Amino acid sequence: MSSYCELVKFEYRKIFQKHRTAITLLLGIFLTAFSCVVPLLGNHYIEGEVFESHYEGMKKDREYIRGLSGREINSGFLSEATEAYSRIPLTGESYANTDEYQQYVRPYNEIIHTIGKVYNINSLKELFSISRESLDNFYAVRQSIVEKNIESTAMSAKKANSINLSRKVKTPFIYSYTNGYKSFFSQMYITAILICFICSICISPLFAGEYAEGMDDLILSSKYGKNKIIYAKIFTGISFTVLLSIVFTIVSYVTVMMFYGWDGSSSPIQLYLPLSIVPFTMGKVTVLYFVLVLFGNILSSALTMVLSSIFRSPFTVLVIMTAITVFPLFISVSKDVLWIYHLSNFIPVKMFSLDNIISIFSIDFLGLVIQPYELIASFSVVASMALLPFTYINFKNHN
Amino acid sequence: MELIVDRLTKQFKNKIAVDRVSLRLKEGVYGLLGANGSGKTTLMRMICGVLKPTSGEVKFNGIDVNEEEFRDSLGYLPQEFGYYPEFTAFDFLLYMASLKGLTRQRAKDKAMELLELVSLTDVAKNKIKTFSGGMKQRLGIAQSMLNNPKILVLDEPTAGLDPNERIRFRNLISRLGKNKIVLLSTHIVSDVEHIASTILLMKDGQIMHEGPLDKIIGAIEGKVFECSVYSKTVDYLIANYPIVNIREEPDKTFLRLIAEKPPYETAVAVPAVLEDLYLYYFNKEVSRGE
Repeated sequence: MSSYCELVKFEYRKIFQKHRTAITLLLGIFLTAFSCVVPLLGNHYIEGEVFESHYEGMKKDREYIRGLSGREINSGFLSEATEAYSRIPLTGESYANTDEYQQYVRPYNEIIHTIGKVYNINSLKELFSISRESLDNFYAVRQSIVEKNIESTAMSAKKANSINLSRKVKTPFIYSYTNGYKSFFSQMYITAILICFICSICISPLFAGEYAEGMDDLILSSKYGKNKIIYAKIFTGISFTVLLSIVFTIVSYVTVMMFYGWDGSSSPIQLYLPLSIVPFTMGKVTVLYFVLVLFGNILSSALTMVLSSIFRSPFTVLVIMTAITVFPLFISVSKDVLWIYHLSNFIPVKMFSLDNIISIFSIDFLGLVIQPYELIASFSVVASMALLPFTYINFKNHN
Repeated sequence: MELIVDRLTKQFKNKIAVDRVSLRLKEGVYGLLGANGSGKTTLMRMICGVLKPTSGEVKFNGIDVNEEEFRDSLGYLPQEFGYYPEFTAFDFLLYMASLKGLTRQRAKDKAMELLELVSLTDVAKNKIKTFSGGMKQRLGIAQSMLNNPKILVLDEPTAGLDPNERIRFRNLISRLGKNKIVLLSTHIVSDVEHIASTILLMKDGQIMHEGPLDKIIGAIEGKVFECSVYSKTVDYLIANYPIVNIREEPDKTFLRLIAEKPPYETAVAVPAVLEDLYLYYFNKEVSRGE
């Protein structure tokens, strides 16, 4: 065991003694932290004049929302919001630039997003046309839209499972400030892709680097060259990915929360995705999202290690992994042919999208009805475990 | 202690690099001599288990080359190998020691001992990227001996060493050969001549001759001649006999050549040396003035 630990220690030394590792990690942490605060940079202008900085705007919105936090989202609350909007003069100019918006509407800005999704409205006129009776039935309307969405999909007989799950969502929702979590969810997608890139850069030389440096003969002729060292390298690759995912997620989470505020972990995810069918809180979705990003990156690293054990150059591995990471970002798969859509979600970078993780689809897999996040997580584990023996065999039999 | 190589063959597409080589090696130093492309490195890589043979097998005391126990008995210095440039010499040896299964304390002690042996103690904490070719080669030799191997395979170990280092290394190998099987390949014939108890002459993937120096040289004993001739005779002799050496003298040219009988009336038979045999078999032509 001690010799195994010693080998792992040396593998980590090989990774961290490269200048490019230090540069990549520092740059990655900087980019992660910077991309968290990018939305807060710059100013909001009204008629060419600086009205407020985005940071000030965020703080102001936070105070407004906190002022309304704890209130049940019911017809009374929704009516207040729509009435506030009715004070905006319909002049044709951007309503957000009006004094009335700043004075009456801004505190209700976030709840209007929820109303818009549930009542499928795209303009102020449509907002005003919502009847009081319809607002009284907010949760019933929401549920009917959710079920309509489920029914309208190409999903098979297992639609009932999604509908049942959606009915478990606890209502009424309690309004609260969740912008920290909302920003974190947006940020985490960028962070996940960054982790994927950095892992590819740092892990690609694990095996290919030995070929490139001409160390393969020495290693393969040594006592542990065809067994323990390969396990040590695989462990190093996976553990590096896990550590990197944890560190970068923490950097993203802490940076976002430091600026936006820590509240909202126990609020329902429906405050962010009003039509979501999962009965989860923001905190639970955060953990789920992290786990899926972690599994997606482990799969990506497993793939990197397989390629690294095949190719003689870490650069070739990096090019292939970049292609695998980047191309799917530009490919949108239709949900009409569900099996292709679900298959596309097995590409690591597609696992990083929150929409794919907690989408409305239940999946019938070998008679089991499971959720996308369960399938994606299971696939990541199984695929990674299936890939790693190839890494072992390739390096062991390298000539 | 016996290393058995049984009908070992390696074929790369249409080329047979090693052709049914069979050997039985016991304690001692074996010098593998052959021209470039004769299959020496391929043979050594198969003996070390880093290249899979097309057919045949390698066993040490009954242990197959693919087993961990075999590799535990092995020390190998490849012809061309790299280092981790950011590692120090000491760290590199510690890493290799961990690959060879030495405990941490044993690895430290052994690394220091071997660095001393190859005269690298002063630069033990320097990064390998600052080392000269000879220093790297010495470090390579040190790593091959970390696990006190029973089989030591050295592919061109003296390449890059200066004459002093070479002689020191030769002496070291001679001492090691007493309780190990040492197989070394080199282009430097004198290295083999001085330290190998058995010489293996390899050509076109096959072992042409195997035996002690006297026996090997016996194949051309009485066939090595020296003479000094005028230039018009030089061309005739070069065209008809394998030339071992040519040296220009003030009015004549000195030639050392191999022939079944005296090639010229003034030619005298001289004792054969290994280099004669090497050049005879590998048909190396020594150009004028060399």
